[in-house]
Amino acid sequence: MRLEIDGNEIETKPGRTVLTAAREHGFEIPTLCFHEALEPFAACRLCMVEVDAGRGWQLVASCAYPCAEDLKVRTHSEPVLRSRRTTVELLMASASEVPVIRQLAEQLGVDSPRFNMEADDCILCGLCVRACAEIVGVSAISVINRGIDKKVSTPFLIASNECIECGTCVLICPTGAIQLEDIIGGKTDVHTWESEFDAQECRICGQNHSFTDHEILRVEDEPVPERALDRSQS
Amino acid sequence: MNEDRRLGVMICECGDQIGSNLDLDALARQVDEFPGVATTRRLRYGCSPDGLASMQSAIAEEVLDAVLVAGCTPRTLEPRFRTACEQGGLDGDRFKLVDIREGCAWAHPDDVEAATLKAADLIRMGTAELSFRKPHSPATVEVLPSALVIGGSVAGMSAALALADEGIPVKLVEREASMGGPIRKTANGSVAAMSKAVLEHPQVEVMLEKRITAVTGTVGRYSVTVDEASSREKGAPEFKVGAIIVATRTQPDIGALAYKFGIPQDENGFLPAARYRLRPGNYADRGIYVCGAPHHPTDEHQAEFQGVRAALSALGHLASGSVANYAPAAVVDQDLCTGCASCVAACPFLAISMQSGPGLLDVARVDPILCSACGNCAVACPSKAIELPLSSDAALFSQIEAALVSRSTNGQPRVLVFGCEWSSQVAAELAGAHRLNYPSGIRSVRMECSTRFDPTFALWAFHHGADGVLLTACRPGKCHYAGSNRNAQDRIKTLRSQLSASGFDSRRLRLEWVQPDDPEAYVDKVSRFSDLMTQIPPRRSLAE
Repeated sequence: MRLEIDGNEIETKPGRTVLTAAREHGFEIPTLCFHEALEPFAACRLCMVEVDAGRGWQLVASCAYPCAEDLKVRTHSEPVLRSRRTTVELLMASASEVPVIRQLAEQLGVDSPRFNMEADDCILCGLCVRACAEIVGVSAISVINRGIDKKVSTPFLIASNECIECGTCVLICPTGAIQLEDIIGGKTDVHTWESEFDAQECRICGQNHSFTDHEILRVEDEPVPERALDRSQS
Repeated sequence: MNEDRRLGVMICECGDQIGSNLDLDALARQVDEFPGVATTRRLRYGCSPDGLASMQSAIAEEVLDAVLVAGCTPRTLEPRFRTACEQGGLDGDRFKLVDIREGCAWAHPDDVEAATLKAADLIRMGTAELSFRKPHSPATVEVLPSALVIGGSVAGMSAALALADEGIPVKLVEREASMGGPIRKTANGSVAAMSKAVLEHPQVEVMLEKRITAVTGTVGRYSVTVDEASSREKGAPEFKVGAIIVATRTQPDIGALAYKFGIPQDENGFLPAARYRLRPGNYADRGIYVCGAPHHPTDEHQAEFQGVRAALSALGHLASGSVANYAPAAVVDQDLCTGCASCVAACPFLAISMQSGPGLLDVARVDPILCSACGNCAVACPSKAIELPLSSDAALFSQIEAALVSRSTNGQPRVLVFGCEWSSQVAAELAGAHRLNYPSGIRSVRMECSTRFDPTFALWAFHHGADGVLLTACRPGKCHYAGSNRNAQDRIKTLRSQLSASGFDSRRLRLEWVQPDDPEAYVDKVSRFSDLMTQIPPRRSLAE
């Protein structure tokens, strides 16, 4: 199967997306919500390219657009860059401190965003949620609510009993927005024994946490073996 | 080591993510020289359809019997490569993904030479390990579609009703002459009405004034014997069930059942929810559920809710028809086993029992459906009769050797980190992903759990010239294998005192607790340990 990317003719096989084919041939397209181990999601809109499938140029998300015979693709045309700039501007509105987004902004020449939103490193790309479901097979987290209230959370905002603490979500997050504590922490709720309790103030440290954490804190006070043996050096 | 093996090494460039920070030409030349390597290929994107196709064609063309992909972290893409290998006609256990992106290219971006050296070492360790792997097949058992409820408490009754309503035959055993105990009312009515509903349900067989005397068998097929509660007379004959729900009311009963089923008790004698945080498929649901008073003192609302919740979990188990465990279960060599039963005591999953063997001795047998391949038994066995197919002693010793075989680390101390899959491996990968720098002389040996660490590994490492050995484990209370990290702590303690006693600087051996999502702390800990190795006097060899 032949297609044309930025004026270069390339050969690819059916079943590839435009993004995969382009990357395979050395054309770089920025992405945030794309991961090789997961199905395409087309959420971040950074991978937008212009394609012409015989009906004129249109903007599409290259991570989810299948290659077709004689398809023409522009990865860095002016409409494409304009779209990416707007996307990055919107990302900058809430996640301006994230290194990967700052880097994108720099590359695309976005200085200060026109928009301003409450600071939140999570860009709702859904990588963590999809990794938990597709790679780990656990589904301990999901995307909840709609519109501006949308966020990644455990079901009913309760500390997860399903999470296996494998760290895949933390590793796959492009912005470093998720921590295991967000999933298993339970600052306000404790969900053990398949029952729900309010977290109690700890009499030792004064923080709210569950009874199992309390045990951990106590154990951690023990010094790691160091002591006497170290004085008898060779 | 099998000398005529044919190993293929695929070096992934990950676009320019790996190639820009590693000298891939030099790396490929080195890898070509490793024993057993039949071919080395470079892939632009190993995980793309073209990359996978190229790997599959290499398997067919070069008649490979093992494949090592050097690319990114195994945490995300391993399943995809593994599936592709299986489609290409290779056993999935003959494939290994070695992380040279997060671990080398991203972690040491300013030092191409050191990063390339590390990548070569990691690939050498991978090839050494691969040659000792023994492919395994999953264990499967059928689950009988019937359940036993122990205790006619509110929780027990609601569990029995919930199961029976779904068509599961339920046997409910209660010590007293009536059910419900001191509680009279439930959320939706009286206990009397609930007890009547249970007694009249066609799917429920209520056995009053009976007690459980023995439970034998394993997942999916438990044999239960019941006696009269008041006398020692033999009661009803033995029956078999697929799931057991524990809902007793009184403390002595709870203790006895906890012992019988191997459910850990907390300091107050209650049974906290057993939650094994292992990958789905790598452990089997044992079909034993706890609800109501054994968890903690509950009111009737909670008890009823927990009963239904336990019943739903049990229903999922019973409806599946069979359970499988894909974990590479430990195998006992019956000729080597001396019948000492150290492994029985060491296994946190109650997977090992003593059974009559070929000779006079009873020998250990591992139930593959219960084994989660943590390695406790393999380390505990004094005659080294227990082997883990994917992480044998030979595989680990050869990895240690491979990590230390090249003598140069650009003047950096040679530190071997034995890393638990669930804590330090995550933290190390995150450190790479966040581009945090740490000393490039560190070589990490991946283990499922810190308890897999045999003290002889440290001695072997020192013998082969390691400057320091760092064992990293999940924090106390956070172990994924029922507190096995405590064993690691004990072993390190003992070995340190032994090393000191023989005049070896014991600061060269250390245990660190690592939190998986805190890469900064990980980097700090390994850097400080590595620095310490440069400050203490040059080490004497173990032989001296």
